[in-house]
Amino acid sequence: MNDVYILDTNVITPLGKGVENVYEAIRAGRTSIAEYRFPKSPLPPYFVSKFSEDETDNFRQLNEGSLLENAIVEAAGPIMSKIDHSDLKKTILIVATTKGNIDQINSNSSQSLISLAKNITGLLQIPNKPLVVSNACASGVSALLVAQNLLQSDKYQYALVCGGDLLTEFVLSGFHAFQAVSKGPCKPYDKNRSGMTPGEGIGTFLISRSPVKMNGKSYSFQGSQANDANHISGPSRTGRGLQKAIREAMRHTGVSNEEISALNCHGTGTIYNDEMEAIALNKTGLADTPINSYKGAFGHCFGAAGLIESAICLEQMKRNEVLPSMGFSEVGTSMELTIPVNSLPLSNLDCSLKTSSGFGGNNSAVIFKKS
Amino acid sequence: MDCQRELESENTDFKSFSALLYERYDLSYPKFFKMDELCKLGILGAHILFSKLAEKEYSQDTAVILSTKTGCLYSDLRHYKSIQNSEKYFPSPAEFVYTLPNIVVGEICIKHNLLGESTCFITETPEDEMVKSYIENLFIAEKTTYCLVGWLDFRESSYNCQFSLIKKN
Repeated sequence: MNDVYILDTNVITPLGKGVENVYEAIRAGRTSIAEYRFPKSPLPPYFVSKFSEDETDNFRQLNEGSLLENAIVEAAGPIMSKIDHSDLKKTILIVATTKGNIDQINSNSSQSLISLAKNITGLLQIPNKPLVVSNACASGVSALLVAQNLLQSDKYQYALVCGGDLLTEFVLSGFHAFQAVSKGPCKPYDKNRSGMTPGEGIGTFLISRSPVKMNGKSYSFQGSQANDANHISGPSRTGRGLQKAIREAMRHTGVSNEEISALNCHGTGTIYNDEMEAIALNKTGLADTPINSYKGAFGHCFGAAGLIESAICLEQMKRNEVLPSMGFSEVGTSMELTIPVNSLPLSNLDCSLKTSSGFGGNNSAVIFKKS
Repeated sequence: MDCQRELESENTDFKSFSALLYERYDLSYPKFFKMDELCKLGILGAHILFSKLAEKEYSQDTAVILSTKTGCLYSDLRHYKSIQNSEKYFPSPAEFVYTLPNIVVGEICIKHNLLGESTCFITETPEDEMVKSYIENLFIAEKTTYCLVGWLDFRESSYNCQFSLIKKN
């Protein structure tokens, strides 16, 4: 398949609005993770990354959509200004989400994820039918690869890829039942890691099928996806699905392991996810490549995670720098990984690998190239 | 298209219908009984489709691309009800895991050991043209030579599973 090109990205997280602001916050060692208890809920307090009540109220009042729809439109607005209104008819909206408007569920009804996407196309005046990609926590990276696929034909010139998920009691109670939530803020890849930190946020990408520049450089990508065929809620012990996705992503982009200068994988902070990644990265010759996880700064944003984290990866490429991983101090996986504890300047960061894995066994790998 | 089987029903009790198919097509898969309705429907559809093949033609690289409108809404309500009463607050991991629409794709991959791309689309109605073009591109880029593709929807009153296995030309 042909490369596609990134026109612009944006993120809104409890750690900040805008890619540069969130990047600077991570670089300065700030975090949005704090203890929180849902009002009137029997759930114990947990460390999570959650928008404040003021921010939530603000999203609700921004537009006529739901909280999540308005927040996504807010994040999409600045990047959509990169194209003309007349280009909207050549644009497809692809939404990555796990639970969409789950905050609106009641005893009688819950709404299809497609209604979220349809309402966003309405608010943004995109005339084409939208699509939702729901591949659990891999949805964000999956949606980028779906966009690449759909931009192979000239039916669309642009894809607006929006990831969004909210942290609700619905979701937290599930991870509470799984006993998957970290006692303190998560510690990706660390020897004392004990689980994930739930979060919420929005990540948006505008992608073009023809070469375009962002900040004076061209950023293109290709990737691949593979299933573990192992367990619906646990990663494979061998990382075979992730290995396959990474190898195929390298084959499609024509880059070798040595040409990849930085990695950002799923890095949730659970024992099994991080261990699986360490195995897969060692087997694909990437153990010596600097890797980080941003989840210690703004938590795990579920369906949006892959897009928010990819946007930060691209900012790393712009600055030729690899950020440290908050919460990490000592490698705690059975195989070695190369994890910087301070910001690591590189002479050239022209090629990055980003991966996500999720419930349902899906693994998605994308390689970004700068030229 | 090598093989197509349709399972379609309206106003039929899903529990008895799925049990009937389980027996008739000799599924013999105890995990089936732990699954939610959407996964049971998908597992039955994939089993019937694959069991009709003369030999095990599909490979480990087979992709699974499913589309649905309602996804896991039925399981969403089940989990939601389990957390409504603070006196009887029993969220269950076994139920919560089914509140993701792509779990059915994972269940099919596990049952048939399929390691290709696995994607779940949510669309208002089946988008046959879009999905066809998507799979054609997948066949060009990936080593995949087979793709299980289909539409899957479960509601309390009606359900629909239409699966096809497509082979690369």
